[in-house]
Amino acid sequence: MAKEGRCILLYGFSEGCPEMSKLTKTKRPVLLCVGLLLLLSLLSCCNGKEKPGASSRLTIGVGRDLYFGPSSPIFLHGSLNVWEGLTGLDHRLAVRPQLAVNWEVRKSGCLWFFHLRRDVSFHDGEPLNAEVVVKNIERMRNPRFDLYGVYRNVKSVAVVDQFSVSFLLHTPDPVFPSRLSYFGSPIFSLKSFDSRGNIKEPLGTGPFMLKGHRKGESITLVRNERYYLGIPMLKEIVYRYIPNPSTRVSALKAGEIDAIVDIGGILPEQVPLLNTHRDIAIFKQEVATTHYILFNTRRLPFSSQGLRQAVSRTVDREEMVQTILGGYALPAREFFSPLAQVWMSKDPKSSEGSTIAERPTENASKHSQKVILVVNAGFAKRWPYRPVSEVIQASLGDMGINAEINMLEMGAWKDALKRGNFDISLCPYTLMTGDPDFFFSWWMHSKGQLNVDRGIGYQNPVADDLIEEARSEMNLERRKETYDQLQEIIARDLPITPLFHDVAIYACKKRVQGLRLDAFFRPCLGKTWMKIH
Amino acid sequence: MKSYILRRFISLVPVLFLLSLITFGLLCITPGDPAEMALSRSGIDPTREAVEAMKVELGLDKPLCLQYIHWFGKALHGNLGISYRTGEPVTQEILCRLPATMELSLAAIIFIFIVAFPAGVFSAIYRDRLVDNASRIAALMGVSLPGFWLGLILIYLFSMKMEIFPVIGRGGINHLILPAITLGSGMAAIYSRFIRASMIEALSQDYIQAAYARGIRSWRVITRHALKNALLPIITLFGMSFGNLLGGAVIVETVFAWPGVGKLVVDSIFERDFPVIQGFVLFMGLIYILTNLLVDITYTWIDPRVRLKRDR
Repeated sequence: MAKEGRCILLYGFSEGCPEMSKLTKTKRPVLLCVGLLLLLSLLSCCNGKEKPGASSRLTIGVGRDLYFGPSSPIFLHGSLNVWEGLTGLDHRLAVRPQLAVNWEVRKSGCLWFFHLRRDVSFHDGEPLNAEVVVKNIERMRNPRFDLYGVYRNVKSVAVVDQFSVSFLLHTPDPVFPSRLSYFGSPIFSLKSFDSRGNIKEPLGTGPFMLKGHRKGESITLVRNERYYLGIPMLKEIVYRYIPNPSTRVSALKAGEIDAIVDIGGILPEQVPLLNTHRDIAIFKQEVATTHYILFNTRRLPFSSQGLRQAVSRTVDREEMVQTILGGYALPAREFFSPLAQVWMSKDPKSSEGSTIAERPTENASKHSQKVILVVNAGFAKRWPYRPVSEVIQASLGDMGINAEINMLEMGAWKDALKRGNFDISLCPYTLMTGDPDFFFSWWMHSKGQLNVDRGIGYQNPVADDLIEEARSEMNLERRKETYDQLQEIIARDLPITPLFHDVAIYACKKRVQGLRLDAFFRPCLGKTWMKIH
Repeated sequence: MKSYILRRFISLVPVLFLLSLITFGLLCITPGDPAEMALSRSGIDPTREAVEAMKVELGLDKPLCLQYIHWFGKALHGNLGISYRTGEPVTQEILCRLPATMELSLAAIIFIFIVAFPAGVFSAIYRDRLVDNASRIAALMGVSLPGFWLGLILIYLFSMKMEIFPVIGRGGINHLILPAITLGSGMAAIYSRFIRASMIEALSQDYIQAAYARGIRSWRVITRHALKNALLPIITLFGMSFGNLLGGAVIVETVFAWPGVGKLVVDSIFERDFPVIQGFVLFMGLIYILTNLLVDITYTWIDPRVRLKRDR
């Protein structure tokens, strides 16, 4: 039977010629292997690997894909330095000029004038002027693009002259220029948009222009020779998407990338590994992100204000920062980033509470039920949330509260919190506008989106009134007083409690010079350069 | 044969339809709002107005059955929709990355063949001797070592210490070696044990004894008589495991920053990019079915008994 089968097989492949069949059969596996290798080579060549190494080309490893595509209001993340806003924030979160050189306010805070720089052109060579800005702002007023509601208060926007635009607001807004910073007002050439306002090509005003994008792999930028603040020193920048933190660090050590610069790019536990490398420099930068414990105030046991205060007091922030975060964080007493110094209370109220905190020993019998500590696994890739949650679990255990840690991915975590299926959770928050209203309105107002969506359920009519009052208070001193009052209220009520203020870690080869990070994890690449060996 | 292949192709349609329906149903009950997830990519929590506007834009405000009918209608015309995350066509998103994953899988298959066949055949010939025992231990290790761990160890040894292979990315053949070993090691271990068992069974058959009795050289008996007959169950296994290989590529792609379709799908699952997930499931279903069809056809090539039965 086997012999018969073999004959049929040979006939099928060699048309009955015994010599041919012998040759074919002998070489068949070899030919198959050669064919597969050729196919592999062909596939490899299709990739068009770029040559590494030109000294004015910087390769940066990042842990997330910074390409957002046409459905996003910005197409590319701001960290790529491709587009810019009308204003920016400095290291102290104070508003500074960017595309707008200065601004003024009239009509008690309802009418704002912004005067544009006259020497700015887009990547396609088109000049920046008021008409372009107005069309960009009109596009941003579409709720789909207005991600954090900057333009909800804007009644109209108009051209004043060739380089001035005006914004008419529904209600006075003392910090409107801050709201326009960074993601608040990305400005692109009008040729960037299709008929529906989606970006086809990101033609911004930034120091670097998009050259190419390999899906899921890299983004290549070239310098903008017309950049108004001077031609960048680097000719080309490649952002490599390397999702695994260990691989990222290995790639830096092996010299395949020159720097790791992004949110959660280097984890605190990786710093000792990098420190042993003489060729690598490690930096840190205080950023505007604060990490919080969130309580579900709508159900027991954390509907008890005293218990919330007790938890906040029990968690040893200093120890947490030193042992888990390797000192790359600041223990948090304040409710938002201390970088916003101007808004810090002169007499800071400790977030740990004091007046009516329950004593831990009293709680053991009172809260015998197991509590659920929900942790977002996505955040845990960027910050050491797992060990942080274990410290909180241990602290709760010291209080006689049995806590169970549930790690959930982003969608499930958001859903669990929105539905209130948790007792306690952890969450980061970045003060994007540098203004306390961005914190209080979102977290503390009874209708605040994060107060509702994160399932905190905090209700305090006095706080609501103060938040609304401060939002349109044009007198800086009175506004500060109101925020002091709000900080006092929140320090007492503690619907959320701050754990630590983030310090970003970034590293680069020592030949990379002048690479700095701003308070929003964005590398400032205009002045970065590389030593030639 | 032609009618058989045609029948198999026609059966693709209901299978893919059911596959897409089940996937859509599962996605719908998964927690998380796709519109919100798409807008949160920049790290900003979008306002409710932005989320609602995005829902309208993506058609997520419509009833679920309408959403599915709309998607299926377009899919029948070869349009798998637009990615929620990037706003780009799903077909383009998948096809851009598919060559990288196929390249990796192909390299892993070559690695499996190079390792598993000699290991399996020699283990069977030298049963319970040093070669067999060593192969058994290696197979046990291959199966036990998690892919992400093995990948990182290989990077440490061959990229960091010896500086032979690159750490990340896709490029020439040298970029392929470590990811292919990582992806293929588990499967190579399984295959080597399977080939060994299959070879032992084949070597114990009467026709092998008869071949030896006819004075045919030992190596020829093994390669031409025993191995060919031992191949059938291995090809069946290959058909079943090809999908596993593509699935396993997810971890390898993440460790080696390999720009393949696996990483795209994982990102799409986390960010609730339903059209990309749906498109990927269809692609995978198609690849699975075609691979198994190829396996069936290969049967007839390797074992004429199958063809003869079918012809009758």
